[in-house]
Amino acid sequence: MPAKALTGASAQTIVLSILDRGDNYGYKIIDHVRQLSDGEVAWAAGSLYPLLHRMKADGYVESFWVEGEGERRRRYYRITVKGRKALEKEKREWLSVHRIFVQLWGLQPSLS
Amino acid sequence: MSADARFNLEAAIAAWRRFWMTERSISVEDADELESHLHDEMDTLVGRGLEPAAAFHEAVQRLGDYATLERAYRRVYWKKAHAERRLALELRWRLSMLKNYLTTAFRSLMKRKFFSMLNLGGLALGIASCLLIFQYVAFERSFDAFHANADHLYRITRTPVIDGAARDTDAKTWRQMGPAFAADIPEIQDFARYAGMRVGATVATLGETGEHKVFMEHGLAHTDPAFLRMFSFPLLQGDAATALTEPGTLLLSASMAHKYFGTTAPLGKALRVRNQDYTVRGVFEDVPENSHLQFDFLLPMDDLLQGPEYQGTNGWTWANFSTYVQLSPDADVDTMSRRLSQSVINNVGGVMDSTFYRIGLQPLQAIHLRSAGFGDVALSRGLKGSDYKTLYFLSLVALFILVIAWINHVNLSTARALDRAKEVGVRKAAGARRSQIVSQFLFESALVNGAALALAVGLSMLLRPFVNAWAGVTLTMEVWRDPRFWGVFVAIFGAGALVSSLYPAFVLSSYRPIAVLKGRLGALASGLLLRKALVVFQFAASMALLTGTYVVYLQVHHMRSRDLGFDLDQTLVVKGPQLMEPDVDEAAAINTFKQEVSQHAAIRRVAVSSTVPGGGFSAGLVMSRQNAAPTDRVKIKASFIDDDFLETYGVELRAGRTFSPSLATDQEEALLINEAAARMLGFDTNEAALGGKIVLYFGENPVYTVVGVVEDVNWMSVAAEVDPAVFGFSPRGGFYSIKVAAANVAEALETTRRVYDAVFPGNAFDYFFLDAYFNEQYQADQRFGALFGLFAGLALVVACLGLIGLAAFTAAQRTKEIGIRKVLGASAPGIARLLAVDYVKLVLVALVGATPLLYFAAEKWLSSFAARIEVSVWLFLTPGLVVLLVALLAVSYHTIRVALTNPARSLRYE
Repeated sequence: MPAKALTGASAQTIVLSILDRGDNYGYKIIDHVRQLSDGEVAWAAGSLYPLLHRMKADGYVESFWVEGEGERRRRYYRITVKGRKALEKEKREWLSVHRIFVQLWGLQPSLS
Repeated sequence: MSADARFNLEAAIAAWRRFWMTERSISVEDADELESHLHDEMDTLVGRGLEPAAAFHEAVQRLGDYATLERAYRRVYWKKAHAERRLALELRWRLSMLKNYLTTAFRSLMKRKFFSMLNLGGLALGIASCLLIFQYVAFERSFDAFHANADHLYRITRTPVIDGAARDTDAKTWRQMGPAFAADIPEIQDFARYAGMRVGATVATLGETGEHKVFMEHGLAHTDPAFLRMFSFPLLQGDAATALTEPGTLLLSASMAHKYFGTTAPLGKALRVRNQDYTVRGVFEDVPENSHLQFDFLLPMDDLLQGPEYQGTNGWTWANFSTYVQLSPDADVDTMSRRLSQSVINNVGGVMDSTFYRIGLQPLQAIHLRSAGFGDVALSRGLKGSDYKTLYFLSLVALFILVIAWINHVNLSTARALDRAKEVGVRKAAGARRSQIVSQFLFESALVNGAALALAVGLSMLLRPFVNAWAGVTLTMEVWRDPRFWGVFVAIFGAGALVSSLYPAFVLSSYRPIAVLKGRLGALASGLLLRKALVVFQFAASMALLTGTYVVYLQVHHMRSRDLGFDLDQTLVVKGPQLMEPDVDEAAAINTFKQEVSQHAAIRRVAVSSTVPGGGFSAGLVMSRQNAAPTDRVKIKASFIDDDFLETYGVELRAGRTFSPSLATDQEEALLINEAAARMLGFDTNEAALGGKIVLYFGENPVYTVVGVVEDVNWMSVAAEVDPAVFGFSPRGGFYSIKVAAANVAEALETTRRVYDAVFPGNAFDYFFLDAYFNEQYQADQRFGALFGLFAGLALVVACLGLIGLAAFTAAQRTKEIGIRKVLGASAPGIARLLAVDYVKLVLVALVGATPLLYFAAEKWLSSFAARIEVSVWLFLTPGLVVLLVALLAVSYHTIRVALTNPARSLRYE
């Protein structure tokens, strides 16, 4: 499990990135994150839902209920234009952090 | 176990939900979402082979504990609510701070009562002066704005141009001009001629009922019916549509209706004006003070035109009328002047752009302030006139006073800064931010300014009647209803509060607590410099105002006391009768009057003339020497006098003789001219003029002979050059000048009245004293001087209030130093000198700095007067000394008190 601070800092970016790929609902988002991290990052529902709430209040996402055939009634989230802009910005920031680590730790990927 | 089998999922979830929602801290929708999540989780767990009951518990576990989740949700939910609560808290805090500021401000004001009084009093006095001046300026500017059509109404002006050179503009126009314009120019929607009666008329009630009333009235005017359509002088009674259309009818003001008819209905009543009977057809509201047209009676224009002097002329001879026109809203005013001039050329001749009358349109609202130099005083007497330059001057004075008052505020506040430095230090040490200190001082300053403003309003109301009486002006409360005035008012307050407090606030808040609490205040030296600069400015401004007053006063005094060339003193002027029975010979009656009055011991001499000095001339006549070229024709002013006139007025003959009643031809042929007229007509010497033939271009172009040349006398104000003038002989003038022996004025007046009533029965006895009448010409300058002087005095008072404060403050500051000096042997006078010399230096710098500027200003103002005082050193030295003396007085009280303090007392405390 990464440190709490890192989780807090990255959660919004991760959620925005997932929603950028398509509308989704809470359980699936947690599932997705767990799979992407090989089970290392397991968000608690108790932290995700308030986060989604806040992102909604900030205007980054919007929510709607979907009741598919034979499916359970679920609340889906969709990224907004504002959310997409925020994601672009966050992406740049994370990538610059990423570049620093890559260079510091000699992880320069090479094609050879 | 059967327990597992009996596990009821739905019931468990319902119970879970109930629990989660007990506190209502999670919304139904969010609970739905969580429940949906729970189901998904259980599905997954069950898919991995868990029992439903175990899966439920595990899923609930994974959801996280209630407390954490609830808090997270609450944080989100209440974010908004929380912000609101913070606002409320903030507000409450601010309010309590406000209360704190208020308390602090009040305490600090009370702690230094003397200081606060100076501060408040200076500001209040300054703002009050400003308000009074604004009231005056606003009133002067409000002239004629009350007419609904004000923007489309114009007065016609006339500028004679001779060979391309423009002469003096006046607003006198011909009878036929209005009708000609209306016919020629379609944009002229309406026109009205207006002719005020120059000498007034007796007005009397008729009929047996009630008291018989006779009064001399001066507010009579003839005008066209269109007058009531164009101007907004509403009728209270009567029909505006038919008013002034019928001969023998008149309109009168509400107060005149009351004066003549009391409470009875005036409509249909009869009044005798001079010797003609009129029926009252309407009552109009009293003409507002701020109207350039002032009248009490309106008579039909046609009645005037029936008079003998208008018969048999083509209507372009006598220019005795003011003509007002109403232009259509789309009319082009710029090109109108040329078209009107052309219209006049068509009627009276002339060549466009060379020799002609240039006709102008003066906007109605410009008349009051921008008619300086328009024609004779005689025509404008009774009309009100003022000058916009005076208003500029006064506005400048207002600004000066306001700035002086603000400077006081700044100076006293920064001086207090030293006092309050410790307070600021303690506040800062206790954690006050700079912005808080700034707002505390801004608040204090706003409070003082607000209080000063309230005080100023009261003060200006209190002072208003005194100013009115002192300067002979009319300040009304009318302007308080004008929103623009309120705008100015609020602007003054805002600017004052801000400007005068920003500096002290920032200086005070910038103190470093450690330095301040240790008692090191070196940083305040710069404030001292600023204070000094501001004091210099204050006194330079005071000096400017005082010098201005002094120059105006001296100039007016100079004009009044100047030798006019004739004697105005002890001269009683009686207006001639207007009602003469048809069978009475007027000349004989006047002669009887003269004889009978002269017999009285108190009366030295009586003269008859058509006008009197200070009242203008009877006419301006175009004339030339016989056989002169038409280009040599000149316009010279003329009046008619009798054979006693020169002697009564003490006017000297330079050559020839005066009129003689025994020579029958004198009345038709003889002419007296003054020396200026002799030069203008081209006579080289006074003697050469004698016997000269002069052609007058009116009627049948009569030829006159010059029988005498008189000295140049100032018939009108000495502000202008002596007018060239000619005098005709007529024993039937409208004014009887009576020279009275010094001691017996009352007796002479009584005798004259008795004789008058006996010789001219049925006429109202109307008289004035010539010196007062003549000096009325200087009224505008006098009023200007009085206003200027008043406010200059106030400015000096305000500046001195500041100086008193500063002096008191420095004295208090240096208490210890003075104590030591005294212990070491300094004398009290020596110390007083030491303390005062700083301020004397400042005042001297101000005086020396202001003088060159004042010199130029005085030169400029005086250059417009023909008889002017010379600019001398004393013109500046006298007000300078006054300022210095007053400043010294202001400084001395506290200085001396401190100098006399027993050193033991000032040195006792450490």
